[in-house]
Amino acid sequence: MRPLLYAVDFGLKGLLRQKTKSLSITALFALIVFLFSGIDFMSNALYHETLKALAFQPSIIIQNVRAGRQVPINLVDVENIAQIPGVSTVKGRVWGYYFDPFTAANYTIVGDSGDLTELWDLRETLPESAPSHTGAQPMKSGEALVGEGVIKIRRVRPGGVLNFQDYAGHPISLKVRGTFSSSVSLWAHDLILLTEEDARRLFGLDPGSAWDIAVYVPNEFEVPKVGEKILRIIPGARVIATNQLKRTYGSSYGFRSGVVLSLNVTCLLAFLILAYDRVARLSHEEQREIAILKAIGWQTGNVIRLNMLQSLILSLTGFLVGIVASYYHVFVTGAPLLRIVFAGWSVLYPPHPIPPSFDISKVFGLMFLTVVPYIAVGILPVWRAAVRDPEEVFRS
Amino acid sequence: MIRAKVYGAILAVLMVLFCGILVDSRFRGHSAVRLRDLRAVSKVVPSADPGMDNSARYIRHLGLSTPGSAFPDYPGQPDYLPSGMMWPPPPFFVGSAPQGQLFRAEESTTEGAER
Repeated sequence: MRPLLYAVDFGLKGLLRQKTKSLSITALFALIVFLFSGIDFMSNALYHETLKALAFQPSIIIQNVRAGRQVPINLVDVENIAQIPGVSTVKGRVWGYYFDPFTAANYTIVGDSGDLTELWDLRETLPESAPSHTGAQPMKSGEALVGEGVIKIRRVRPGGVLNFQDYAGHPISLKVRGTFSSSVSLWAHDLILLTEEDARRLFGLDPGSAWDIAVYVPNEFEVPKVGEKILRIIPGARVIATNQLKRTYGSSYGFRSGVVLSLNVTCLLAFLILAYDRVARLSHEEQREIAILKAIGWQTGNVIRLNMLQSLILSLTGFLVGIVASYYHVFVTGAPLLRIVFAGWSVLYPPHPIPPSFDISKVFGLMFLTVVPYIAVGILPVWRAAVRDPEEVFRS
Repeated sequence: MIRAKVYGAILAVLMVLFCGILVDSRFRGHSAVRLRDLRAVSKVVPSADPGMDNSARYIRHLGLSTPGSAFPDYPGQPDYLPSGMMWPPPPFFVGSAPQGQLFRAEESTTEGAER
């Protein structure tokens, strides 16, 4: 242990002689790791959050398409679909967007008059509408549960009134009954939950139709067969399965992170050039140092080990600083520098950080791709300098 | 020797922070309470897309998305992938969106029997 401490001490002494150079290499190393790991953390966490939510979503979504655009779907076939073996639940869903011209934000409006017992725990309610112990409290007409983003952008509080216009321009007032908690803000930030009747009134949707039909199939192996049978019942419908959405999410986040990573390749190249410059062309001072070490009896192997130790000190420190800073940036502060890349130009951003998804194998992979090459690239030039006759170096 | 000790202390602090990351991701990333909340809200949310992209039609509610479309969701919306950008949306991105038919309706004479 003691010889190692002496070696580290000696290596640090050498690095501190070129303080500015060593510090800039460590800082640049940290920056590269920060950028690359940050993008990976962000896209990985978003993808995993999406997959988690997808696990609770319907196995199949049926949409009606005319001229390539989605139109409301008739609910007359719901009973027929429910008869398909393997299908547990079929539900017509009433939902849509509402563009608010005053805030330029798009809200997601959902109409649901079903049993929402579980949702009561999620919200901060008005005192008079606290959940009863007898079971679910269905929402009344003219009431709404809204996301935090809507509360903030419209400057209302639970108990306040939100004014909208229906499809024909008639005013609709909704009393804010409560808000969704921040734990689900990634999904509910822009959400406004109404009764189904209110949502139909807002969108001008007649009672015999819905925006899409959600089909729940408990056994995932039965989904393709159920999908085929649905198409026989509603020819021309767009049938979307969970697996298809998984692939879409994967390629979507992969594409976004890939675009940013390719932009960062220039940073990586600059770093590699710097690293190459540092290790491939030893300065006269460094060559003299190696020659002195050789002259006082150091073996070539010892010199190479010292150089590797110095490289390890620089790269490992930079790597750890980069990873810790990146984690703090993405999962504690909410990735203010990267958010815009993954978020587009949405008006309502959930301000809360994404729940962490940390893949240790990827971190080790990044370490292998940065620290190890940095250490390895210095071996050859140091060996070259170490095998030279010290006298020749002194005289040059 | 003092330099090695000081560096050892710095390295130890960094390692502790790194271990803190592992612990934090374990607890916050796998919170049972959050999963319960997510299960509850998933009953009403129309899609699994995170709401941070509600105006970017390529992400929010992909079932409705039309990648490469020139028509914005509202007047003056900045386009996520502007048509004038250097690269068009890649084929895998467009192709993987649920545009086409996933399932093929097979002609069957035993439809009634299968049901």
